[in-house]
Order: sequence, then structure tokens, then C-alpha cells
Amino acid sequence: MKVLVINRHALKWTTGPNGDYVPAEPSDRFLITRTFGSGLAGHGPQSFPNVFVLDMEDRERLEQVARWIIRTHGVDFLVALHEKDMLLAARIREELDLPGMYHERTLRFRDKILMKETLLAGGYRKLPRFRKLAPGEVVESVPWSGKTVVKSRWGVGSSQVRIAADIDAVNGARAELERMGDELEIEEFIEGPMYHCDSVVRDGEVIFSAPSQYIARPGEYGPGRVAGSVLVSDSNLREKLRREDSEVLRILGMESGVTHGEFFRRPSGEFVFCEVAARPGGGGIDDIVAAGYGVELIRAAVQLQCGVSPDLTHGAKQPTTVAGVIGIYHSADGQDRETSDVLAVPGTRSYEFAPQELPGAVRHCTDYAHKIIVEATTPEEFTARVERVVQMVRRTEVVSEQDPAAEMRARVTT
Amino acid sequence: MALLVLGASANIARAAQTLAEALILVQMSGADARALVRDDVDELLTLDFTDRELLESFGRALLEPRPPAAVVSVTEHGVEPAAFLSHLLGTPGTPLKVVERTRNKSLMRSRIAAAGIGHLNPAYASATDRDAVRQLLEAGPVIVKPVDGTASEQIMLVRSVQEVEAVPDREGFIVESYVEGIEYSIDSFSHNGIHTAVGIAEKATEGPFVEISHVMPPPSLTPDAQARVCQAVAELLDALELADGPAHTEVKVAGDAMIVVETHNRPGGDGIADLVGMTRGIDWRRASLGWPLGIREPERGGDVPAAAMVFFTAPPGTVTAVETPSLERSDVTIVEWGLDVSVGDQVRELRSSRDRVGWAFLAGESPEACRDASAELRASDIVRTDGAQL
Repeated sequence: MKVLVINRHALKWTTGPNGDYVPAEPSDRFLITRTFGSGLAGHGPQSFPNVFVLDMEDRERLEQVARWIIRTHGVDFLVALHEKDMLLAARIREELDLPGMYHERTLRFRDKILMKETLLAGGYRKLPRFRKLAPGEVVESVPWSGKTVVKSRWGVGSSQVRIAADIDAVNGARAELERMGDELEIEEFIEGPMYHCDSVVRDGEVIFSAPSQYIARPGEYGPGRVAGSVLVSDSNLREKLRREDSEVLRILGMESGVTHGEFFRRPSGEFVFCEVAARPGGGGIDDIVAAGYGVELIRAAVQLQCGVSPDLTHGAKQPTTVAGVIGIYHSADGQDRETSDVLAVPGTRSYEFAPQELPGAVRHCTDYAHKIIVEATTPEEFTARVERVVQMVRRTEVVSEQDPAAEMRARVTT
Repeated sequence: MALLVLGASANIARAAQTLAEALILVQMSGADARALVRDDVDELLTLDFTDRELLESFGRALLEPRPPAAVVSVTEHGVEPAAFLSHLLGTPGTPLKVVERTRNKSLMRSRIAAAGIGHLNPAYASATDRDAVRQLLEAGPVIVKPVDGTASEQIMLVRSVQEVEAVPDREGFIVESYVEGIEYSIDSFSHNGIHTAVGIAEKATEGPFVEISHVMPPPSLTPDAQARVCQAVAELLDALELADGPAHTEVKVAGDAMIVVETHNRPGGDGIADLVGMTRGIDWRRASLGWPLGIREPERGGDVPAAAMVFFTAPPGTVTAVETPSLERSDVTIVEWGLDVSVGDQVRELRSSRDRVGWAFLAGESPEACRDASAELRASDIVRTDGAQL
């Protein structure tokens, strides 16, 4: 089996240590990656002797090189786990007759308008009201009260999402996002916490699903703030989310792969669909699923894209622990320091520090300075441990405008 | 526009990075990409660039849409593919036919003979021509070597037809009369057919002609003899029609006779580029990579009167001890050194450059001092093996 992996994440995350997620001999592995974002960090020629390092923002070049590798070397499977590469991979698979998800099906997981239209057409009604914006359109009114979400049809990592309090703000956000060249939509803002459901799908059947709650809405990232998510402990809530997620995946026609679906939960308890991607969630979600269920989502995603069925027999049906990922964004001045002392806090499973790569900005919702995986036996214990971890990090850095520990207490409702 | 470099080492990548905003590094499978690319700047692509069909497919699919400013290589296996790509893309570089003449020793010998400078050739024959080989052997021992060999591999000194016929795959071998004498290598730069020597090194070999030291300038060549060697190299390069770019030519000198051993359109390996830098102040790697871009390297003057690269060897066996190289003389210093083995490693029989076990750069007050210091270092058993007691 010959496999081409298109990687835009940290290399070890995508391919596992020594590339061992990829079910092919090293000489039959082909890797396109970048240096940015640790895409080449830890690369060993013995794991990936056939490596191609590109500027991944150059889409035309990426596609040229991928096609040439596949045609020249007779590649059997194409693996892509980053949102920006899903459509490209699907189009190449289709054109070169490789197995896996093709373009039309993948598009439903990428175009946030088509996604919701397909769900509506399939009879799914738990959606926010939404509509597409024409280029340059000045919005005069919206058919809902309260805030409005202005966002890209093709956004990644919540970086092209704006919450507007009134029509002027809607048009301001529209103009700002349009300047970035985005196609846009508006939708009603749904009050309440956000959840995500990370599923493994094989031949259209959901064979594993892990619901979690976001500590902060992904769109609310910013310097010094705290985000992350925690596995849902409440079994009723878990099952409800799994049902919603399965229904969404069924209507959208997910074939085989790992998905990351997001839902709002109104104060009434009703779930409302936000969006779903046909790739694993980032920002440590795979770590908490592995901690709570013993399931390796990234390995499963790579295997499924290679036509290999993941072995989930060792995975737990219910989470065996309250596991969560805490992400603390870079501070505004970028003067963040590694705080590995947090590993001394009971239940802290891992700590990663990432120096800021681009000065002055948090680039997307998982662009964390500090990423900490925390476990506990109860939600209360989890919250207490997280508070302590955040305080330890804060002691070394500029204090945020908000009290992150208070934010956390308010948000974690599991 | 990017500069494409085939088969770069880390040293070569660093030199090339001073020449162009971005590089396209084309490497053989198994490349250590992290040691080569600059973050967010360079592109790296792996393929077997010695496979002509694959290289053509690569060139047409990935380079023709965005041609680089030039395609260069300074490694033996890369120079011909680089010329092929340059030809395909129409970028400046040494013409493919010229490179083929340097890479194929039979072609080179024919060109030398056709140019009327046959005195630079030894008597030679194809290894499959039994009668011609027999005639050569009647005059003395012969050298049998691959027509396109590198790194001193598969070079044999033989004395009988039977030994020649025992060589597998003889079609790819040439037989040349063995010429006594000292061997020199001449690194030169050509521009519009004017050839300028940038460094002459005196070479010593061991066993099957494996190079064990290079001393620059050459202690055994008088200035007059150096001029004659340079003239011979110029005639050779003219015969091969190498008008632009670097060359590394090996010449044997015995009395007044001069015999061309081989030539390449690249700088010498084995640290010779560093010897040129030390003694002439020319960044020879940069010059050899940058010329198709129109970049010329000035001669800044050397830091030392003489320099040498010496290689350590050891009898085959398991390494039992290694020592820090040192010299008890004031006229030569060890600038840098390194060992490729440590205690417990296996040392193979010395068959090619790859079987050497370490190296040292020397800087000295005179070529003679560097030559003598090289011999002293080699005699001091820097790497010892249990094979030494066998």
C-alpha cells in the first residue's frame, strides 16, 4: 500500500511517532508538509524517506506536487486531516480514481451554507436561521432578534467569525470579512454553551462518538483568554448529543473518517446544530478522547482514509475519567513563558508550550500558548484542578482582563 | 526566481541560501529535510534524480510551469541530472553533452584524442577488447575502472588479462595503462572559455587509490610545472567544450609527462572547497553554485599560505580506541577534525572513500609542512581496531 499524507499540523500529531499511524512501509509513505507550525519537527528520514516540503499556502503548487506524486509513484490512498486540505484531497481522489471521500460529499462538510441546506433538505430542523450574503450586500434587517453571527462559508478555526450586536455591526463585520476575500453568511446567534461531538464513522455507520463541552465558544478566542473543552460526564446529555450528531452525519452522507461536529445548547436544553467537519478536531480533543475512552482519533482518521478499519475494541463505551483540555492563548505582548510546573498539579496529564509563531495575534481558536490535559474523577474536582492550573500559568504572565478561573466556573456545566 | 539545487549537502544548502531568495532542493529519497531547508522559505522535493524518465516527468510537471532561475549541482550524481533539467527548461548551465563527456571516461578519452591532445591520455582500451587489453598489459600493469565511477570505487590495478576478464559487467569499464607519478587535482573556473585555476592540490592515495590527503598548494610542483598543469587542464576543458563554470580535474605528473585521470564540472569534494577558501579566500562552493545566476566570487586572499585535508584510515575490524589528533610542531595547526566511528564500530576494508574513518583540516606555514604533518597524523593511529593485531 502506498500512501500520500498531506500534512499541515505538527507532524507527530498527524502521523504518530515515527509515522506509525500510516499503515504502509516507510518506503511507501509519501509526505507533503511544511516547516511552519512544526510541520517538519521531528521528521526522520527513516520514517518518511519521501518527503516534500512546500509553502502550503501556495495551493496551486501543493496540488501540482500531490498529483505528480500520486501519478508517478502509483499512490493508493491520499490522507489529509486539515480543514484547508479536505476539498483538495477529495478532488484529487476523484480525478485520479483513488478510494475515499470525493468532492461532492466532502463539500457538504466544508461549505457551511450547503451543509445547513443539505440538513434542511434531509428534514433536520435544529438549525439556526441563516442566509447567504451576496458580495457587497448591505444588510438592512435580519429576521431574528438578538445578536447575529457573520461568518465565512469556508472558515477554519473560527478565525472568520464575528458576533454582531446590531445591523451596523453586522455590516461592519461583513465589510471586514469581505476584504479578506470571503464568501459570507449570517445566522442567528444561539445563546447557551457549545458542545462538540467527535465521531468515528466507517462505511456510513458511527462506530464511536465522544461528546464534549467547550469551556469557551470557539469564536471567542483572544489574547490571554482561556478555552478548551471537557468530556461530557452526564450520560443523558451524552446520548442526546450522540443522537444529534449521528443524525447530522447520516443526512450529510459521511462515508468513512473521523468527524468533528459542533452544537449549541439553548437554555431550554434544545440542541442546535452549528457546523461539522469531516476531519478530527484540533486543540487537544484527541488527547481527551484518548484519556477518557482509550480511542486514538487521529490514528483512526489516518487508517480510515487508507481504507483500514480502526481497532476500537479497547475503547471504553463511557468515559472512564473527567478529562479536559485547557488552552491558554498567547498574551497580547507575546511574552509568554513555559510553565511546566503545572505538571505538579494532580491530574495534569500533559503540558505543552508553544512560543508565538506570528507576533501580535491569536490566529485561530486552537492557537494556544499553553495546552494542558487535565483529568479528575468528578466535574467539580476537574474545575478545581483547572482553576489551579490556570492560576499557575497566570502567575508568570500578564494578567488577562477577565478572570479566567471565573470564566471557567461559569462555563463548565457538566 | 528560485535556484534549484540537486543533491545538496547541508554545507551546499547553506552556501546556496546566500545566493537566492528561495531554493528548490531536489534530494534523493531519505533526505534529512530538517538539515537543509530554511523555515518557510525553501522547497524540498525528493526523487531518484538519476532516473532519467522520472526526472523528465518531474521537470515537465513541476518545473516547467514555474521554471527556476537555474538548476545546479555540485555532487557527482547530480551534475548530469542538473544539466538535463537545464536543457529541458532552457535555463543557464553547463550543456548536457559537455557533462556527459566529463562523466563518461571513454567519451572523455575520445574527445581528448580527437582534439589533438592525445598526449594527455594514457594508452587505453575498452575492458571488453581482449586484444587491446592484452597489448596494454604487455607494457605493464593497467588500471581498470568504471567509465562513470565516483569516490574511487571499483578501481583496480591489475596485471593480467584473466584479472580483467574476472571483472563483472566489463562493458561498463575502461582499461588504462598505469602511469607512475604524483597526482594533482586542479579546481578551475571557466568564463567564456577562459579557464582560471583556483587551487591545485597534491593528492596522496592508499590501497585501491582511495584519497587520503590533499595539500594545497602542491609541495612537489614548481611554479613552472604548475603553469604547465594549468595549460593541460585548459586544453582538456577546451576539448570537452566546457566554457563556463567550475571544473575539478585530476592530472598525474611524471617528469615532463602529464596524463589526465578524470575531470568533472563541479568543485572538488573531500574538503577541497575549504582548502581553496583557506588559501585563496574564494568561496568556492558559492562560486560553483552561483555562476549560472551571473554571480562571481572575488578572490579575497587566503588566510594561510598552505592547507591540507587529511583522512584517517584503520585496518578492518572493531574499533578499540580513538584518540584526539595532535601535532607536535609549530608550523601546522589542526583547524578542525572529526571521526566517523567510535569504539565498538566496525571498520571495513579500505575500498572507497566511504571506508575512511575520520578527517582533519590543517593550516600551515608551507605546503611542505602541511604534507609532512599529514603524514605524521596518518601514522599516529588516531583510530585503532582489533584488526591491527591480526
